[in-house]
Amino acid sequence: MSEFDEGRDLEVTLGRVRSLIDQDFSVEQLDALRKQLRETEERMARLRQFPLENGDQPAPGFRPFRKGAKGS
Amino acid sequence: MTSHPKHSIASLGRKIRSGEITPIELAEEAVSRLETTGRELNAVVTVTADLALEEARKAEEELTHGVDRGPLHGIPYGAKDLLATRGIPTSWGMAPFRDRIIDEDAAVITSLRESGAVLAGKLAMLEGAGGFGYNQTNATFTGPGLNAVDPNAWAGGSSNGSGSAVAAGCLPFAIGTETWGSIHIPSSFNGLTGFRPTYGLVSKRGAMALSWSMDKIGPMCLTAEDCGLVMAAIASPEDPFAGLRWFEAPAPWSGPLRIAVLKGSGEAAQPEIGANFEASLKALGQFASLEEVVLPDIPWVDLARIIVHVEGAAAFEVFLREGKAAELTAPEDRTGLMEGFSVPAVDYLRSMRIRYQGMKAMDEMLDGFDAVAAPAVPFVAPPIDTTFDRLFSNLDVPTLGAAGNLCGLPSISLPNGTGERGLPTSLEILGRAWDDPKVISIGMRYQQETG
Repeated sequence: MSEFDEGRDLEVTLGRVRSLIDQDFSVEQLDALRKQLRETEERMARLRQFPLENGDQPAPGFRPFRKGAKGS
Repeated sequence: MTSHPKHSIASLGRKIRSGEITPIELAEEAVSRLETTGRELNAVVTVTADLALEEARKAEEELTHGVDRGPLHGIPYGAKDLLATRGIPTSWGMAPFRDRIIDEDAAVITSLRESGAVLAGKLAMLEGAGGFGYNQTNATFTGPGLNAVDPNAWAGGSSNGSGSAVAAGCLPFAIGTETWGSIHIPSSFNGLTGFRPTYGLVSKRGAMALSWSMDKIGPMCLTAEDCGLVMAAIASPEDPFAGLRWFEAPAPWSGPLRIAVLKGSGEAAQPEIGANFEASLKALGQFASLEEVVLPDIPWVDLARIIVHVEGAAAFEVFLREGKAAELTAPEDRTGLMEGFSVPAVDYLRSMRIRYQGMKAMDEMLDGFDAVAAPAVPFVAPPIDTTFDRLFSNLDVPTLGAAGNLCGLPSISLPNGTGERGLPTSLEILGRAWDDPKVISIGMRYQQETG
């Protein structure tokens, strides 16, 4: 269960996201964005239940940079 | 005009060297087919006729004078339209970019040119590689991608043009990309052999970024052997693991083989796909020992969605902030990726920390095995008027898609029959990181055994 079920936090998040974007949203688009934000919050809530230890590091995905090296 | 639809790279190479056909004839044929069949399937963004003829002419001249650049010399191909090409528009499937030219060649385009391959067209794709969350097939300015086997069905995504153009015989191979399913889904839906390399093995320079930590580039071909030939041209010779030695000539796997079978994956698929998977396991059992394994209990789908949305929102930050999403084709894409802005950094990093646990768990699952098998996609190509909210609502079935992509593991999809409405189905073979040549060789052995 997400705190977004109460609706209040969802509107705060929606307002924050909207403020970043220079776009006029229709009522339908705002509803779609609410749905996306709710689903994202639910996913994050489920992932917060996953047991991690302090020493568990993020997946490796970035390489050191040196100009001219492959993949840089 | 000579007709050479649906010939493998290997067989076309033999025809070129025997004088049966010339690179110019092949290029003309590819251009013509892209302009007709390719357009009909909404598989094409730009036909690069002038460039194709120029490159074909050069190939012909070189081969005539004894300069042989290898198996791809004189072979036409198509590139998903997210790979930059000098002097030719690169749209990323997005209407606002339909006329944009990124005036450099992607590393893959350069590698293929150096191998003598002939670029005949830039191929259609879902806008932004599907990252904006499309819910219908009409999610790109070139129109819905029609399936080469049945145009009433979807070609898959996001590399739909690469899938249908090759399957329809317009081209012997194409380059696709995969963040989460975009090579294997269109390959499976159109009856092709698709290969997704280990993350990082193929340079992404000049390719559109959706998810920096998940994007991969790979070939979509008629056979596993052809995938090997293309990979030999585009794979980086360097890798961070000293174990990889890329083959000069791909060959079917001949040594002992131990293949894991993903428990529950056949049962979770459509019945015909399950039956075809069982038949594939029998074929694999002729040359490999098989043993069931369980997919590690990791929230793969939640992880993939959070990571793609956050990295996608970052990659398209300026585009989104400037309100350009309003110009996208699919109405639902006009709010896509914006949820990525709502994810706190701690939650993104938590996802990456859990992802690392998943990587280690998958490596442990594969310990002692050469590869793991499962149906490539648990359903056949849906009708062209499908909406995807229901189709993709239950991705938590045991498949290798999210796990394989999050872990960056190499895998090949191999056609293994037909399912509902006579549409193609596929087997997926996934290996350990940097075992790319082995995965392709296993695919070749499977195709050798099954004809």
